[in-house]
Amino acid sequence: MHKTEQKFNRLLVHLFLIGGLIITLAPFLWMISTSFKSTEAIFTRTPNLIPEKPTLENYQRLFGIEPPEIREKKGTIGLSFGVHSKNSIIVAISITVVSLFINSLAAFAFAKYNFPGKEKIFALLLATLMIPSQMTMMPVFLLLRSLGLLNSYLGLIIPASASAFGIFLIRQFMLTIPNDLIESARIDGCSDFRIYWNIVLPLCKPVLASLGVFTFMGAWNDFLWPLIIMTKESMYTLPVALANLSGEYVTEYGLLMAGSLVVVAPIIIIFLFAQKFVIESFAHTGLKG
Amino acid sequence: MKKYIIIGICFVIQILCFSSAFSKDTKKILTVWAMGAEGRKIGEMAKLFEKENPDVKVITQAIPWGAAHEKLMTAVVGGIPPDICQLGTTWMAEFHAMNALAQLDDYIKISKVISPEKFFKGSWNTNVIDGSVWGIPWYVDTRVLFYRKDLLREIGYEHPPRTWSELLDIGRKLRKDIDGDGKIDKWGISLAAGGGGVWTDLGFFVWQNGADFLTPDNKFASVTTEEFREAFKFYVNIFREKIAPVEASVDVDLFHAFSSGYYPMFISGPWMIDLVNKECPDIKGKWDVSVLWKKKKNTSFVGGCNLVIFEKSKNKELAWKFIEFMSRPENQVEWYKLTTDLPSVRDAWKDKFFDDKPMVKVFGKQLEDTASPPNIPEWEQIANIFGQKVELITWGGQDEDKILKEIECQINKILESKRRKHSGATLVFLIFFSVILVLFVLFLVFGKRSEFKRVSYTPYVFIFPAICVLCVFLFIPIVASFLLSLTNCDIYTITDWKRILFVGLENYISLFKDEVFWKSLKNTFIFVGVGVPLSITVSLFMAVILNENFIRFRSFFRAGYFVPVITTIVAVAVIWKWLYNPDYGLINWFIGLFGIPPQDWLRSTKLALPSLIIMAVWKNFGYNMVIFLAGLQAIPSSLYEAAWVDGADKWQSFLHITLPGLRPTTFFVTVTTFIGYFQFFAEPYVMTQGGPMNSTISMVLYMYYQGFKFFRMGYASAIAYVLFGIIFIFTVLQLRLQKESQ
Repeated sequence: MHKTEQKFNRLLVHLFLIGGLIITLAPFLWMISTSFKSTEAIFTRTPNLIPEKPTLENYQRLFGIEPPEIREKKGTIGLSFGVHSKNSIIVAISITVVSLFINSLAAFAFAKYNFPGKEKIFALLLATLMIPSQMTMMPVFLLLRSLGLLNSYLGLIIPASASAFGIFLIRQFMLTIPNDLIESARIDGCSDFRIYWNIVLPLCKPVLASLGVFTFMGAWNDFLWPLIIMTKESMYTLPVALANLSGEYVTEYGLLMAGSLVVVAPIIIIFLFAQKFVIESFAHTGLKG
Repeated sequence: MKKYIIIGICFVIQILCFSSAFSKDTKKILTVWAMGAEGRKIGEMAKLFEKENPDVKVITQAIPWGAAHEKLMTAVVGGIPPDICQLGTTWMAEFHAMNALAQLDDYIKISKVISPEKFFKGSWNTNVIDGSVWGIPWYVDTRVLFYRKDLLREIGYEHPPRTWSELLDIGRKLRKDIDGDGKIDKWGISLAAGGGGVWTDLGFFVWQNGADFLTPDNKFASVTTEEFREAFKFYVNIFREKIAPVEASVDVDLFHAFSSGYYPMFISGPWMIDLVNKECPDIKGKWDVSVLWKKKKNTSFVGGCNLVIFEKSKNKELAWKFIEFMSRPENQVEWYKLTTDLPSVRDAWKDKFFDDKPMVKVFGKQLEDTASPPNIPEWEQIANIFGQKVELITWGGQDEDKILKEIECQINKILESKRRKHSGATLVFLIFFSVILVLFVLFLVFGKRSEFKRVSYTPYVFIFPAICVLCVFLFIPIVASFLLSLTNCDIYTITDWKRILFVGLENYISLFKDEVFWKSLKNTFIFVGVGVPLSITVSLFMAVILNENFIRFRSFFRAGYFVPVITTIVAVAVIWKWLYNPDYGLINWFIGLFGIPPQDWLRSTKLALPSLIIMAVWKNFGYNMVIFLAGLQAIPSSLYEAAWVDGADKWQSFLHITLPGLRPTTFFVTVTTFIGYFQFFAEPYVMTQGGPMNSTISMVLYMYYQGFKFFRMGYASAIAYVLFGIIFIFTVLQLRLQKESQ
């Protein structure tokens, strides 16, 4: 009796977990489903998951490649999402690459060198982790404006190219690299930069990969900063473009869901391929606080 | 690895370079923005212009009136305005103060098409600020009297009121209480007794008596001069004698009122001619329009739109050519044909086209004597004062001399800030910054003097880029933000730094009195107070379940629950907005299965914030769950075994082993979720824009609106610091709690 009761309970728990999963993922499934529906199919009182007449028109409109009849009926949406995708890709990759470089360089100095002021600078660095990013919104905007960097990729990349969090994380990892490795390289006549580049950095692959994934996702998903810094629609990144679309085409849910999918898809794809790694990166980066 | 990084960087640089290369077009491009109905039709004029100038391409953009002001401000601040824009006469002063407009005097001097006499004086003056010309009238609009010829004939008048005394006489005779019940059934005329339209109607009388709202230099109120008081008293007297009603005009259908004789006279603009013809067919031929009555003059109000060239435009010559094109009399007539906008060029009125339009010509006649409100950015505020104060007399029966004094006081207070002298704030800023920088450097360098002996520069070089970026974009802005919050930084100071003033704690004091700010504070607290415990509870619950040994496919579930975490909040908000749709959304369908009636989730003041909370919890419970899972796994199973041996049941071991073991994790999760939820912004931005009725506005959203919609950056920085202060205090409190419980 006890065994079957236990088995039954366990089954219930699994069912509960599956139910929870359905609730968690339902919005996404619904998003995908709606994005392939035409307007008539969307505005029905009895929803169905698989569209009866799936259509690509929402995606076509999104990228400006819709067939002429639809363009007649519904008009073009202005800038194609292709432009915004390009912006997001450039920005996210650049931020990731540049910040990994700059952060690891600084982390190396903090981990493997002793110099006057090191403790104090590092402490100051950590203190900045407490600052909410919105506090610097106004002055940074004014600064970028006077430098003429509004509406430019550099305007987004430069402020994000260093982060105390990233430096801290990499430093923790680098501390575990044995010093004799570095010492022997120095004796062999290696310059400091080469030690960093050829020896230490390759050893840091795990933390760099973790931080890289974390940074890339953060930069891709970032909303507030691109919203502020890009005032020209052609420079919007995907999240900003999506918000803009949702403001202009309030009732065109098919279009909006298609847009959401485009914004979300790359991240989900990365996630599908490496979910264990991604989750562990998040947990790992989180716990070190 | 190295290879890929280099390739990646090269790839990025290439794209950056390509993106900045513009495709060379052989045509010159002119960008023109126009609003509303004008926006839709200007393309036609643009085509005509392109025909005359084949090497030019005109790109027109239509902007809805509702978004226009904001869009223009953003364009000015963000640096990419159009070449030419349509600007309402009441917006001229504002944008001039932002240094956004190009001065046109030099162009006018050598122009054969445009000169002051060619336009109506009142309309031309709306472009003159500080003695220079900043725009050219495009089309005009004025107000005339619409009246019932037949009803006036009945009381013995073959013509409309031509003087103030005739107005009184006619008004008294038209006003009737037909059924003797004490309530007036037919009024004399419809005029604004309160609210936004007061200053226009009052303005007629003020100007007709030779008075004005402000002194000629626009520095002081002139509402207590003899002429102004005479006009003011005459105006409120019309209501006292019950010649005009004190009701809100929006409650009455004007067309029905005009047809039935309820309002036998009213004042309005040119668009009304066609509308009255259409909506009041039964009184065809029984009504007419006429210029306003006279005291010393018969002045009316002039409005309309001007064409301006933006200072940042790179095509000013071409833009001027376009303005000249639009100012030619034949093109002005053409524009009237497209839009019925009245021509601003006087010669256009002589065109044969208007010969069979006597009513329209009345407007042309009125245009010869018009005035406009003072050309200052603060006019809107001042107009509001009149709206409120006049109501106290017409509705509240208060004494007009007393109210006039109050009006004078308030206007002068508003104008006072214009008269404040510069405080040399820029210098103070610079000194402040340099002091901080010097202290910073000293602080670092004099850390440990002894180590200076064997200093190698390498580490400094390595940390230089990072420290540079962090200094410029983090440290200094944090200080600058505080300094900003002590100034009056707004759209005018952004465009002209010399105007910045230190105002001390004024922003914080205004914040204290700001209702919307307190609302945003309350909403934020509710969001955090409900959302954080909810999120943590759900995450902990799920983590505990997932941690059980018998769970299969654990990583599968973990991944699934984590998906919302990695999706951008914007996409989540857009999707959930669709889910919350009251008619077709999935959520209402779902609760309908249980017999619950559909709810208007995002448009109900009670449900909107909870809806956002639910969405936020859904989005990030996975993150905390993963962290809890890691924390749970760190608890040695031996503890559980020992407890089981001692006879403890699940609940007890949870309370006494799990919870205490999770304390550091719980602390971390609480603090981070707390700080995160405090900053919620994207959810209301996308889903509700802070509504309905500010029930979902968060502190960061309010800060964003103040800073980037109205560009009141000083005020917004104050909000930022208050937010920071609150987060700081709460974090410290939690740290204390943590320390104590150990």
